[in-house]
Amino acid sequence: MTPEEKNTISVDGELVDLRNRTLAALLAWLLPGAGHFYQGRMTKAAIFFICIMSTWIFGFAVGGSHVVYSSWEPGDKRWHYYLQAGAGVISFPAYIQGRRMNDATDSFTGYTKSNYEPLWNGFMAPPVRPVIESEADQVAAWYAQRGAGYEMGTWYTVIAGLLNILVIYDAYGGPLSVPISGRKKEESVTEDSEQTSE
Amino acid sequence: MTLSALKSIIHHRDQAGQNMLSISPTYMLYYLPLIVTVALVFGATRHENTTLVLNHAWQTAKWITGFMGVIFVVLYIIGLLT
Repeated sequence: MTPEEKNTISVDGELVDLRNRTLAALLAWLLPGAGHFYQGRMTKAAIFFICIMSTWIFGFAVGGSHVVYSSWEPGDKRWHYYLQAGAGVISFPAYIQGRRMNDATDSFTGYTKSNYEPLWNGFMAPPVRPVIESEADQVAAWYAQRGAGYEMGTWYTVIAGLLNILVIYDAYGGPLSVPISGRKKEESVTEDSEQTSE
Repeated sequence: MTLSALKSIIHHRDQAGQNMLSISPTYMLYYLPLIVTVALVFGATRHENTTLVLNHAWQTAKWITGFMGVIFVVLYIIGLLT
């Protein structure tokens, strides 16, 4: 079996060359749809890019551009970021800002040092520390400014990142299996369309 | 059933209804782009053929909407009864 044959799968009656699967998966993570573009699956690349990027950007905008940041401090364990980062390179600035904030945080007091200056005018920068629940800190101000939009923006970006995990899998191994109930329906639809065409 | 009891039930239902819809219905608009995205990505990660992708996306959108609709109705009825 040649390497080309090993990476070729048959789905919906079509042969799909997955090329270098690992590279495709990496590209799919870095930019939604890029892995499929590399594999020549253009329609799916367009669907993934438009759907995931628009969802992520819409959520980011609705949340006042403060919903994506990296922080793992007491009172502000931003676990959402690990899911938002599923959308790839678009969330990298938050990681850089988070590292910078960690360097600028006093390890004894937990307070941000006075000489701290965020990069890029604070784009994706974490809130000034400490963040204490029930106190008027920077996170509370962001909530107050955007209201429900802050929560909604957080979930939109999280969902976009989660959806891209499915896309990464699809780039690496091809389409996921259809549940048995759905497969029966789709087979009957396919059979009907074949009979009609005959 | 006395008139006062009937008024009490209506008032109670009215309160329950207000609680269920205490947010603006325009918030429901957030649902539309999300269901389109989720359904299309679900469909496209299960097929290569575009027709099958769209068919799967439509089925997924209907299933999720129906499931959420059932949850809403159940919660609404619970709200009326409590």
